Amino acid sequence: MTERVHDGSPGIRTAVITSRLGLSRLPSPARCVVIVIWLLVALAAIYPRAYTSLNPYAIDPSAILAGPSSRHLLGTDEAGADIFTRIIYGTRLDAEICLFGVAIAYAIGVPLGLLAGLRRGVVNEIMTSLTGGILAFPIVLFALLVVGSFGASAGTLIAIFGFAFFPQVLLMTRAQTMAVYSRGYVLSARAAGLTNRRIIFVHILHNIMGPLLVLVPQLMATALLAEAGLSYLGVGVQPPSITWGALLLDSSNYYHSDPLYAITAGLVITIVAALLLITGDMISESMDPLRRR
Amino acid sequence: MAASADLSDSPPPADERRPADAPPLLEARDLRVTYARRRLAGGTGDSNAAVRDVTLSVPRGATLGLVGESGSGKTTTGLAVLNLVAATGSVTFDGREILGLAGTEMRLLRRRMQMVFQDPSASLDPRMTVRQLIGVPVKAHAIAAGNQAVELIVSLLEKVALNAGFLGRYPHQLSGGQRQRVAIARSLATSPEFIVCDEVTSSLDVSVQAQVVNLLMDLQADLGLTLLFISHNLGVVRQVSQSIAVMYLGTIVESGPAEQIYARAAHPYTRALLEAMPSPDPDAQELHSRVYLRADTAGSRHAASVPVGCVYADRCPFATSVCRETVPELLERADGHRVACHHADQVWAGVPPQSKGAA
Repeated sequence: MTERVHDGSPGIRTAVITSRLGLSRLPSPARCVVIVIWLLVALAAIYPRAYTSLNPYAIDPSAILAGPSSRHLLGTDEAGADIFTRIIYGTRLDAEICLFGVAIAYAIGVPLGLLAGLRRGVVNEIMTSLTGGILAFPIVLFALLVVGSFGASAGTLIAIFGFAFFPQVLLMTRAQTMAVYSRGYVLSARAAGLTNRRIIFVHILHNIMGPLLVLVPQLMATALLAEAGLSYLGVGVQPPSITWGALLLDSSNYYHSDPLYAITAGLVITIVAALLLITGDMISESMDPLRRR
Repeated sequence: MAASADLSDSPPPADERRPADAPPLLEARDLRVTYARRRLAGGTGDSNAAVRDVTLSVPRGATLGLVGESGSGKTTTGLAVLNLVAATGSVTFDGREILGLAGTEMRLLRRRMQMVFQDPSASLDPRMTVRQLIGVPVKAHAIAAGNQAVELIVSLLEKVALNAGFLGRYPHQLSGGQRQRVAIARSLATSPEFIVCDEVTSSLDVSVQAQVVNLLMDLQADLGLTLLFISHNLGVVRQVSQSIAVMYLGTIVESGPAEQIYARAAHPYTRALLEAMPSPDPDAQELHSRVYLRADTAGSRHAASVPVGCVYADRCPFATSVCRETVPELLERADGHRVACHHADQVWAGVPPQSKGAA
């Protein structure tokens, strides 16, 4: 009833996807707010100048750790650079780390998960113990080891997150694949003489996409928090690159003299992570027919 | 019975239309399907067979009705003759052995042999439109593309009494009968010769069942289809089949021409099934005495737990010690009519069992 009758083949798939993202129906007010915030965040990542005309690296010895003013909305840091500008400019690298880290996790996890779910048997057991082993290893310890050998950079962080998160993607893909594979339409596709590859692309991926999509923002939130944590330990991106985690580290020396500095940096991370989780919840809500209004 | 072959083209006695020695389109011999039990559950090899030594043949253009209760292995037999489950024995399609075929060879053959499943809401991918659903086999077998594909899909929809207006609908926007029609249209996409219809009516309303059955019969007449019609509903089977095989716990207990089975069933289980059919004539009901089936006191029976001897012995009022010791063979009693019962003569003659059925 909620879905319109579509015809015209190329439009159908996008219509299905948008309707499952909850975009085809008029979004609820809460959804609108979340969507608008994401657009603002995306703008900050793509074109930070839209928010500030200041240079994030410009130092101003006359205004070190200054409080908020009309020129410096959130004050300045220990070198006199504008904190608001640095937060805005930090968005891009954080977004890149989260997006590419999670993308790598999916690039590894989805094919291996499909393999484990379809082949079962030995392949499945190998995958299960492999993922179990990786999941049992503390991510921070792993990150310290990797950074120790390869040096700290955004690229290293992306690789670390890709490796640390792919087991979750693999396990979810595997479980969903097994569930979908036992459905009647897969058997009927086999009876119709479809190749396995076609069954995977036509039926399985199509039907497991929902749950997999829900996991994306959750993993991105984890990546964001982990980036902050690792930067705080000094193994995140190195200056002059700016991320929110790097700001948090810089601010940590001035808790007493300038609490607003640390609070702002921490708050941005917290809010965006929470927003990611809320988005994940909204996606799953719009996917689950029982939770649809 | 077998003699005069007049050329009346009305569907039912299709058996008599063609010479008896014409090779069947589909033939299964000693078909056996064993579902592996988990090692932990303590299963032991052989007794788990869901289908045991099933032999059947379907002449070209005819319909074989496969009847039996749930769990008797009907569906598994249907899957096995299409090489969709691992089976041993032999299945020949158009003279060619298909068990053991795999890959491209089997896929090419699948164009000629299709299946319509019991529950269309399960067998149709919920995230696809009717156009995509029917388009899948069209694309997979490269039958048509672009506008031709759409034309083909529409013509298939028209064959099942739907129309182009359904192209953009999703399965949940269709009624049960429409869904099953879409499933049938999809199975026709590759112009198959043989279709396994697995309980195609049982998930439908009674009023819709007849429509779907009539549709199948019309299609069979128009397209010369050969059908394996699986059902627990003897009334439906009677309507569509020229010959019938009755299954119980994974084996065929009786098979033969439909009229023969309905008129002169010689296996107690078939008798029981026939008596369970509701009769439109209230007086006729009284003639039946329910003596062919005992309450299933042994608890749930399924094909995985099979007694020694005759599979039906535990529920059979005719059963004697021989039934519990030796498996009765499926023997030919009359032309094409085979029965697996030690006491078939007695049942045939209508002699009541010595021991009365459980009161």
